[in-house]
Amino acid sequence: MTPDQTALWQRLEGFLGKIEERLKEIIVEAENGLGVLFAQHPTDPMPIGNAMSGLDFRVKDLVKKIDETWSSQIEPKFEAAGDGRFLDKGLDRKRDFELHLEEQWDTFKVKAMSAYYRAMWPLVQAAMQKPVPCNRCGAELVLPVRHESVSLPCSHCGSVNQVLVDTAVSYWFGGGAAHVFAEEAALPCRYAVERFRVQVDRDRRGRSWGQETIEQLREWDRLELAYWNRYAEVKAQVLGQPVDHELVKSRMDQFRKYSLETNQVWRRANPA
Amino acid sequence: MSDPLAQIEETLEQHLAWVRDRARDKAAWPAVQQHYGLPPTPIAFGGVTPDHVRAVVQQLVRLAATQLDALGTTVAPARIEALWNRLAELADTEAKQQASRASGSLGHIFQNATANVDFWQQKHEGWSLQLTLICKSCGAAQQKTRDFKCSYCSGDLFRRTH
Repeated sequence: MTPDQTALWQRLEGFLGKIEERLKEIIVEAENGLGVLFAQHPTDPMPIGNAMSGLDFRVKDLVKKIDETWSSQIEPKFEAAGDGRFLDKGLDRKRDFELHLEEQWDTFKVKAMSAYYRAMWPLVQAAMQKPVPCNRCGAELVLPVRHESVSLPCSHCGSVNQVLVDTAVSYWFGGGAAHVFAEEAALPCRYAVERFRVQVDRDRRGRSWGQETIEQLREWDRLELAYWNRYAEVKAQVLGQPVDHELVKSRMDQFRKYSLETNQVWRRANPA
Repeated sequence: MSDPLAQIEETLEQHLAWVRDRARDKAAWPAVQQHYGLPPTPIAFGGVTPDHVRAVVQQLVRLAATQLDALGTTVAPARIEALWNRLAELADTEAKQQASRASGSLGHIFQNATANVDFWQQKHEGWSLQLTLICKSCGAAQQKTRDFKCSYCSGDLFRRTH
């Protein structure tokens, strides 16, 4: 690198360093704030979700700031300071940093939500063990399941009781906990997909933006499938149900339809 | 220091400053709890909560109250009363301050996050998760699922929560 390029590079690193510092501050403040919220609403994930949306917005602002600053101030200087290779190097650094930022934030979000649902579990168990008396005679009802609403006659007086699911139990079994734990377990697979796509882009750039190879597309397909398989597997474990292969199939069908089947290389290798 | 009341106040301030400083660091908190005779509870996720602070400050208040009690009311009764009043509210005040300190510049996000939820929670407070249908005419309970005619007098069944 020339002295000019070194100076520019250092400025870029300084800028990215500040963004990273801000993200770390947001994460520390968010962890503290969420901790308080968890204690206030131990069985209602609604406020947690609301807060997450607000926090997400803050982090998206940071990512937007990188893009804006890059386009308006950094890119023109990188273009002027050397050949295309220096600009490519800068672009790679920017993309790697964005990926790193997204991974840090996504990991934090998933860890926060899984910590919330783990802390909720004892309350869910307590709610499921709470005796439910008949509305008419007060005799204890023998409920076949506690995570679904049931309608059953009292074994003593015969009155039909409609028993709805406790709110905490409903949030836990209604997809909340299962989705969060599955997402937590499958997150490394999602990162593998994202990193692979970045690699492929760089490979294409090295080949003057030539088409993706069929091997690359197959690898993308394999990584995507690994993600959904892991997700479905953990979701099934949490819910105590068999793996939902239909879910995997539907997600993969969508992915193939919109990401692979629009690609000529894939179409030629996999004619309909 | 010759003024015993001022000494109690100064000691209290020193303890409070130390607790507030440690309340920023969840890793340091178990040591604070231990220092004030509470069982240490490591914090897996989230920072030091207002409840954590309240429990520690309550211990601190007990210590100060014992010292204040020993003084009696002979020295500066108005100041003693003012300190008693402060001690009575100290734990809650510190807990409240911890709640606003915890989320720093993101405080408004957390306030907005709960505003709507609190409204609905209050609205549906006491709402039952269990109901039976009873006959409008004779008051008998439903005997068969999905049968909405009374099995005794053939009247209509209507919803009644517990």
